[in-house]
Amino acid sequence: MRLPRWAVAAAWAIFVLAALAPLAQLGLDAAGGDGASTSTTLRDLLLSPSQWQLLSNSLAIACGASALAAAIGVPFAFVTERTELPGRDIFGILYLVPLLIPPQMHAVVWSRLLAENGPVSQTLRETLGISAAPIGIFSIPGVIFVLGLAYFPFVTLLTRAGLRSVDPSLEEAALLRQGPLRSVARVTLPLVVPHLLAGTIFVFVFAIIDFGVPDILRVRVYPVEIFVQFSALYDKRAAVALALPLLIVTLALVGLQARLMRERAYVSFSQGIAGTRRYSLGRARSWAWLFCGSVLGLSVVTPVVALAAAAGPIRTYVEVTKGALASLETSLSLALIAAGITAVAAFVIAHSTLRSRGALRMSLHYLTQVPFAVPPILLGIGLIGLWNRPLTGWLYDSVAMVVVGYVAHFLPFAIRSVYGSLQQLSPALEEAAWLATPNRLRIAGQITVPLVRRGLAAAFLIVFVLAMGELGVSLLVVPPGIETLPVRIYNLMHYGADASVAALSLVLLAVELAVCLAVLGLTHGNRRADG
Amino acid sequence: MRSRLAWVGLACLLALGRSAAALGADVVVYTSLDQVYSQPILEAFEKETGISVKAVYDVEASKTTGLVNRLIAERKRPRADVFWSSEVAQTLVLKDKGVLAPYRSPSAEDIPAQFKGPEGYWTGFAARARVLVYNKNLLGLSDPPQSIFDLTKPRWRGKLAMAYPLFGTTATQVAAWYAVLGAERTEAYLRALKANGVVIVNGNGASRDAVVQGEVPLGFTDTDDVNVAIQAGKPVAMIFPDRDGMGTLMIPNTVAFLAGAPHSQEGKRLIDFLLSREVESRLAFCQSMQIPVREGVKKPANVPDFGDIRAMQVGYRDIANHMEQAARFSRELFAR
Repeated sequence: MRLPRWAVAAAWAIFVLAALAPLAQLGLDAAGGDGASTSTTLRDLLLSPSQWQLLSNSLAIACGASALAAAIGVPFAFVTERTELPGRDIFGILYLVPLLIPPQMHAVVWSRLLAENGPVSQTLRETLGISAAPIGIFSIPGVIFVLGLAYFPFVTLLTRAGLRSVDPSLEEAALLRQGPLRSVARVTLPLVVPHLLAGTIFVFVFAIIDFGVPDILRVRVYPVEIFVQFSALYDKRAAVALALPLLIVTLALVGLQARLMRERAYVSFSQGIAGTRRYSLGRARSWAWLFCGSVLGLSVVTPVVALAAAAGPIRTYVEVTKGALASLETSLSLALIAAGITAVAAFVIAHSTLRSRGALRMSLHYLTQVPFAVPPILLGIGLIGLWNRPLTGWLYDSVAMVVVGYVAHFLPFAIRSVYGSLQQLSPALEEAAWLATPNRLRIAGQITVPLVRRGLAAAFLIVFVLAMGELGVSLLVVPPGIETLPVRIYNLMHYGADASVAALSLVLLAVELAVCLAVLGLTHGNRRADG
Repeated sequence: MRSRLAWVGLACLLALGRSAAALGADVVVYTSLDQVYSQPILEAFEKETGISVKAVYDVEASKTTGLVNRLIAERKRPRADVFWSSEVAQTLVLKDKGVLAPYRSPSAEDIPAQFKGPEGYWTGFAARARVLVYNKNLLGLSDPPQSIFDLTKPRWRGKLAMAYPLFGTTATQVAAWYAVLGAERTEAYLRALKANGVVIVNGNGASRDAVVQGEVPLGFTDTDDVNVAIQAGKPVAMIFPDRDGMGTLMIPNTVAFLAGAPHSQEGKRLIDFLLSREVESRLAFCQSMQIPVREGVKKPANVPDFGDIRAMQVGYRDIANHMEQAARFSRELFAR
């Protein structure tokens, strides 16, 4: 079944206008030489040896961080979703927390703990009697460690969504012939490959376009070069040219993923049937518990305790919250709206891509992934160029522009998230419903959406959380007089108000966690209704 | 579930409408001075004139260039009336990009000529100094260095923090060295710093923090960053380096009027207000301890007289002209 034409057209229009058009605008400006302070020649556009070095740093970080995130995230998802691990419900909520703490905050906490004269190094030095700090956080492995811990929930969130919808009959069939370990490894996990790859790619993209964390950990990375073109040399053309390798790397990755999944079916024929199997862990139970416990200890307890210690008494929270109430409200409403629009558009786009055939499907798929790895500063500049003109000034001057920025930035992530879930959905279910009613919206609303709701919820939450923390794009397009919460937090950070920054981060965390629980509760509660 | 979602959507739309209703701006200012300092001053202007101010505050994560790039990108349809920078070099870049329009404020008459653009495109006030911050616990008994040229000596090997010199006031400082010392000496000095194990951190605040935490005893940073730590009771102090030599670089706040400003009268009034002696005094009294560039402006005792500082003799235009050269060299040198 295809969705109504108007819906498909509207969703693609959102994608093209929000995400693709600003990039086209940038490309045009760059080609036209607008903003190039010096006459950039073709030779300048080739990477210099030091830029190659930076690119290889960035690639090492992105590969390392996504591998670490997958190594943590997939087992974590499996253990909490499919075993009888005691405490799995708590684990299944707490793992979201690292996503709700800005990655820079993770980096600051770890850099202080593991600095040469930090508490961890001191203790190790005293107990082991060695002179140098044993753990170098200010290094590429240090960056990989922090990014892996900060972003593994992407992998867990999506893998859990996939695990819930795996066809139980396939697992049961496998269990008839082989033991649980082998059936998990050879049947269950391969069936959620689209989900875990999507999560891993998210980590990769964030690790390769972001320089906040490496910057704090004193590692030079490639995206800084793009930033330098803007902020030190004011050369838009060179900045655009430098962004191309990032796009190429990401598209290559998407291609690799498509190749890995080629010719395989992920369809679950018994979707919606509740009662996925939970395995008993037996003697491995304490190991699994230790694993989940130490992951959360490092990624949740450590930063939260460090922030709470820095924030101090309750008074700090009351004071900072009072001053930040308006910006919290702004961020919350903008992020919710953006997440809603993005999730719906992503659903329609992913659905229409999957229902198209052959070469068209492949090229649509690639097209949706083009804006993935665009550094926020470029996207922001592109959005200004596109929308800040007399005809569309009314939009540019309004707060809706921030929503446009969020949608532009995060739509590819949402599409990726929903795509995996839609791949599990058998088109036969929709076709069968078609026999009963010609109303395609009704089919989508009553059959398709409920069946992929976990993927949709994951997409919604991912966009919501990312938008709540977004800074690069919103700073460039936010209308004067409006303030989002991250702008406020980073402003205080510069001022050196550690206590306020920590308290505000924890307030932000609590608000985001409440929204996450509400959304997960909505989608979870529904399961019983349709079971 | 559907009705619940509808309510959520409605609530969001209402919130959006409320934010949008707050838009009827009377004067729009983009500022890179920390919000904690700039917001109270803008509120005082609102109170005094009844003109409401809509501000966009920059953040360190974008290293004060986010707004500069936004202004350049918005050039064809300017939204801002006033740019209030905590820096000077980027304001000159904006002038060169044709983003600014000249305005000679009557409030600026008693500001010394070195802090004013010759054609009236920008005016400087309330300066910070590029200083060395040191940890008193670590350097308590020994003498802290008095010149930046001491820092390449073996004694300070691995003991100095500096922000990545492509951004912020650190970039300005390196460009100032280019202007004063010439390219050859500056580049030799930067190479020597690198060879002496300078720790490159992600901002002046981080440089200060590395010293406060005792990770290194010394760091390049700005007076406001050090003063915040001193006020918080941290064991640090500052040195105005090279009092017997080339002097300490002073970096003023700058205000500029934008070409094609949508609210030009109100914009000019805001500039007049920002350049008043009262505002300069307020900035001296707040934690950022900005040093008044005019004589006789009221200030607390810990803020030095501008006349008592040996300020580096360098024109800000000269610094701006060396920014690109400095950036290109630093980029290669500190790439790894």
